Amino acid sequence: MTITLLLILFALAALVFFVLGGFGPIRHLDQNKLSKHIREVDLEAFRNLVDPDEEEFLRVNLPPNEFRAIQRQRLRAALDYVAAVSHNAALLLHLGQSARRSTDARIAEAGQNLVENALRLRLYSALAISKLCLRIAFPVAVLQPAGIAERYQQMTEGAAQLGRLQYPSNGALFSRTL
Amino acid sequence: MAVPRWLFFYLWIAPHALQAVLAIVMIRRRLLQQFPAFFAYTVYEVVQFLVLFTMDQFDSVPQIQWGTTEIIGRTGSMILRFVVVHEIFDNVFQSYPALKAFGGVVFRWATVVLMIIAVTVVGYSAGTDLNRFTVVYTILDRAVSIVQCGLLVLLVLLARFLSFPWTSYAFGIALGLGFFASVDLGIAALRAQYGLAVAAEITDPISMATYHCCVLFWVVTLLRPERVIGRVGSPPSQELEHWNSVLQRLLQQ
Repeated sequence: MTITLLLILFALAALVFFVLGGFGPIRHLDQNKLSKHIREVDLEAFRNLVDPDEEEFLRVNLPPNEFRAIQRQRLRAALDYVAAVSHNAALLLHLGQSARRSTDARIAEAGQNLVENALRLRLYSALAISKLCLRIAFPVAVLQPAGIAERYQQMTEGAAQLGRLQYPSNGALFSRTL
Repeated sequence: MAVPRWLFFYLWIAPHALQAVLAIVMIRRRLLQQFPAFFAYTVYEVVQFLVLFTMDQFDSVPQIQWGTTEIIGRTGSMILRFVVVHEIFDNVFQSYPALKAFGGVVFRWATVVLMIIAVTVVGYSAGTDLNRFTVVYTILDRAVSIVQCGLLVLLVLLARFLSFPWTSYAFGIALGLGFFASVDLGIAALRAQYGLAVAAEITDPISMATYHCCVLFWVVTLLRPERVIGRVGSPPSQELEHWNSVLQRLLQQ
């Protein structure tokens, strides 16, 4: 009877989920105000937070209790950064999705590249978040969310390339930016 | 709680008539190449209905023969629905070359994990039927319902997480199928608990009504033109500068 109840509860939850998934509010971003939604990410600070050498230095020079406390704080900060990267990747996905439908082949290609980079980064961020959560629980374990910073940089370069193609009149501005 | 005869016949005939319409819509809209499994499933359901309905009209056909044909037909539907779910996964991920392999891996692993869960759940749950044939059917029914429902929930979750545009036909088909799979799962659990015959009076009309809604949803989805996301408009220059400065800060950090 318990299993039957559990199955019925799961079925009900799935039913609600499908109804909300199909008819619930879909987030439409105003692409003209995309930049307002972008969260700032300090890549250098993030690299520092997940740097194994830095961690090793702290491990050697601090008492274990203090190391664990500080390491947890560092990992929470890194988690915030990865969450922001994931959020930005989702925003750039929207931008890329629209651009890849462009009639201009170059814009469509740049949009496609941006989408691919952003998708990879979003998946990678999810993995990194789970790793960081594990590490917050077990701060002594060695699990590096390496590669996030590089992939993020790759994605923002893709976004910049798309910007240059879509708004050539602002090319100088983009060149200076990227 | 028996439903009126006219309502029973309506719920039996109407969804299949709509599925015949759906098949025609798919041919007219040239969706066969995009969704061959879904088309095959649609045609199969119509043919299955015609066979069962014809058998029902002849008194010479024994009840046991009709019941056996129905269960064989339902098993075929279950298998085809599984193929349709696989087709939806393929369809959703195919426009993202970077995720093509990922979609396949997710589908395979999710199926394996969900099958293990399904076998465990089915193994621990009770059953009241003594007939070997119906026992096998209810076990299969529950296991497949769990796997299909789980796969569709996973697909919708992934699509939400990866911000796939919620506009294509594939999502319409997935939502309809997901809606039906979740109700079917609840019904499969009730059937296993109370037996096929006892539960039939309550669960059959619910299942038929749900299926009717799903087919109606599919027809409406496929009749509507596929929404295409518009181009990005040129942002005002001050917005662009803001965007540039955000990117600049990100890249120079």
